[in-house]
Amino acid sequence: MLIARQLCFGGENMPYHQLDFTLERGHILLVQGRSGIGKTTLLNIIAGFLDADSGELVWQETLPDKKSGAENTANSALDLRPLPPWDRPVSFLFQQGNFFDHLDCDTHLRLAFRPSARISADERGQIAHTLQKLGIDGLENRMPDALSGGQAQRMALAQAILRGHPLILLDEPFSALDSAVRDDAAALISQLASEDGYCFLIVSHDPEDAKRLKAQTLHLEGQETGPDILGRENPF
Amino acid sequence: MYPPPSLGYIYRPISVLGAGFACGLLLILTLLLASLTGFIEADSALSLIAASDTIELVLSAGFQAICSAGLSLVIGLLVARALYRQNLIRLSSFLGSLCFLAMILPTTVAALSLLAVWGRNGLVRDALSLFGLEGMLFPAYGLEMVILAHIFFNAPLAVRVMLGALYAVPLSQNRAAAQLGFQSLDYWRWIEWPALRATIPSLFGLIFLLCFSSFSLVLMLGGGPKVSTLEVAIYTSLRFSFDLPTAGILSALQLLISAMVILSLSRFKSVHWAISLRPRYALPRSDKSLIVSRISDGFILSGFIFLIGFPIAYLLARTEYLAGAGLLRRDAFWQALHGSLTIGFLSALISVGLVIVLASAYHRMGSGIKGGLGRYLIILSVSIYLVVPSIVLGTASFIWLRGFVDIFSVALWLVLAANCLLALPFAWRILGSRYQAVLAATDKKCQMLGLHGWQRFRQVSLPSLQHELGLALGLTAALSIGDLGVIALFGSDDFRTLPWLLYQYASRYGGAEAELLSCILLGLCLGFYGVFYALVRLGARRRQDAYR
Repeated sequence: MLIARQLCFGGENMPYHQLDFTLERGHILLVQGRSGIGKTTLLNIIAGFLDADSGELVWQETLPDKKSGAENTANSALDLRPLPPWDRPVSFLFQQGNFFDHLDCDTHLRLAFRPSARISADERGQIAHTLQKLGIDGLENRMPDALSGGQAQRMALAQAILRGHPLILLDEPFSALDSAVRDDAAALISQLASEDGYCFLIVSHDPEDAKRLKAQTLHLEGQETGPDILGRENPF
Repeated sequence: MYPPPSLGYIYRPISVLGAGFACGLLLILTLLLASLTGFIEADSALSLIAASDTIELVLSAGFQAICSAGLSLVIGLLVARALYRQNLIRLSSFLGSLCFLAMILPTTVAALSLLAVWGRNGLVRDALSLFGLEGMLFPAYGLEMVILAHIFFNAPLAVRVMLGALYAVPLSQNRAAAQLGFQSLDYWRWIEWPALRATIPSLFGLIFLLCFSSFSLVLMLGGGPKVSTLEVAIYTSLRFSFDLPTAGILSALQLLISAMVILSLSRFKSVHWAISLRPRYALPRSDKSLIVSRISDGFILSGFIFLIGFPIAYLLARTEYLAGAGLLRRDAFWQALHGSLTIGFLSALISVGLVIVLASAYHRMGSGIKGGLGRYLIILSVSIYLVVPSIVLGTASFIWLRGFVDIFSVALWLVLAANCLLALPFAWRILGSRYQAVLAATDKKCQMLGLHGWQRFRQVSLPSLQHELGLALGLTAALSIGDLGVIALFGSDDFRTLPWLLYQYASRYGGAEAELLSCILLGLCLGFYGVFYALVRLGARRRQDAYR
């Protein structure tokens, strides 16, 4: 599960935040708040593209103890903040630009396994299974710009699933979809969370998404100045 | 259906003016070419072209151009990749300025700079002679020196174009790559090479063309008839043997080869070099802090700085300013300075003015059949001068006008006209497309506010164009001031420019005066660029202040 303890960030045209939250395996956390409040910044901090001012960000696996079979979390906590993006157990689906324009979808899916894009027969089977599960089988030979909005969203999700990382960050995944496709996509995400144990952290503007996804909500409000929460001098 | 008929009274004058200018530009070229071809007899032309000397000349110029273009491209690619990977703002800005300096540097100054480092009494040869190794260095004049000079000018162009292509990769793709755990080779395979490969055919073709039709560098560094180009052969036959038919035939051949190269490149992506070389975002790359990457990138970037920046810095440092001060007492210097200033100033204003009118007309003409034809005419009239080398333009003017006027008495106007025409494609590339974009973006708003013509240009377009306008004015002025092409044909005791004087000093007297002259010429090019750029920015700021 993902644990944020007194995670502080903000400043530079954005209010200050101090966040404490936990996102357990198989759950969905919806991040909401007005424009410019720092929702995407939070995702970038979790993915490792930006760093927080202070606080803890930990990924904790709950593993069965080999001897007793009981759950043991003592040795599986991973401090995320010092790690670069490529070493974090995170996949980030950006609002735009999830694809390399010059590569077809199949190459994108193979890249999920390793940067050389060379895959085994077993991994080929995994790709077919995932595409079928997401309802986009047969589209793997298309170029990204030949996919519809919903198909592109699912293809990017397929790549994230194939990477095998348990935490998936989605930045406004439904903004470009019409309501029918939006319901389908929400059902798919709920299914992936409940059946396969993925954690989803989703940025959304639509209050209806919380019901649609049966998700917890983290409402960002922030403070205009941050001396207390950041433990530094108030510049004003 | 655009523009609507109700707005025709506003749009018609600029469209007519633009179409008129475009037709005028094409007419001038047609007349020049007609005079060139009218001078050529088919039999003598074929026998001259088929002569072993001509074939050998074309082949050797082609070999030189292929080597120059290939090496420039490889160096440009290595430097662009290293700079992109390290993503350092100050270093990128410094190298961006260096690349720009190499673009506006007069060829005569570059030739002297390179000779100061690599020439007979140059720094490198002197250093090697301390160890008895001077024999290992290539000759001071000849093919290697010409190729080195072409790399000096064109590797920075390749860096600009390739770095621009790399900076166009969206941040999201780099972030996706970081998440996928890409290493150096993966970045190259999946991101860098796909971004760069589209630029390579056009870039290679453009550099090949520039090196194939090179004139002043080959003249100054070639060291004799063994290393030559068609341009030098045209100049020699016109200026020394006054063999007009040969000059005409060689000009036509040069034009034909240039046109073939340009046509073959037309299906590839065009080259964009007028871009900012500052990183647009922080790059999350796993390989940039590896020791191997740092050492290899450091080696490549310092090698590039040595290759491009050091010769200019060394020339400035070694010039004996006092010993060369005698130059300032010569009338020829003041006459040349006056000629260069006149040509630089007027040529910048005229070519940029032409581009503004043509770009407005291009935008107004719309996309119907008539508009499409008009737009095609404008593009053709501007870009055709990229195919025409300056010596060919000069030769054609010489042949055309010699029956009507005393060529040398109107040399100033001929050189000015030629420089305006040759600067047009550059000014268009920098300013034209940006101005059209500004016009398209502000059309509806301006129509609503009733802003038209000069008022619209002054209030709306000019503030958005200040960077491009300053760049275009400065660059065209610098190119015209530093040009040693047409002036080589028309220069005389009555009319000189600084590059022409520098060429004469370098080949006859040499020494301190030539070096001081090259420093002055360099300062003048930079000064013109700086003054134009500052004036446009100042104008825009004052206008903004007035509204505050």
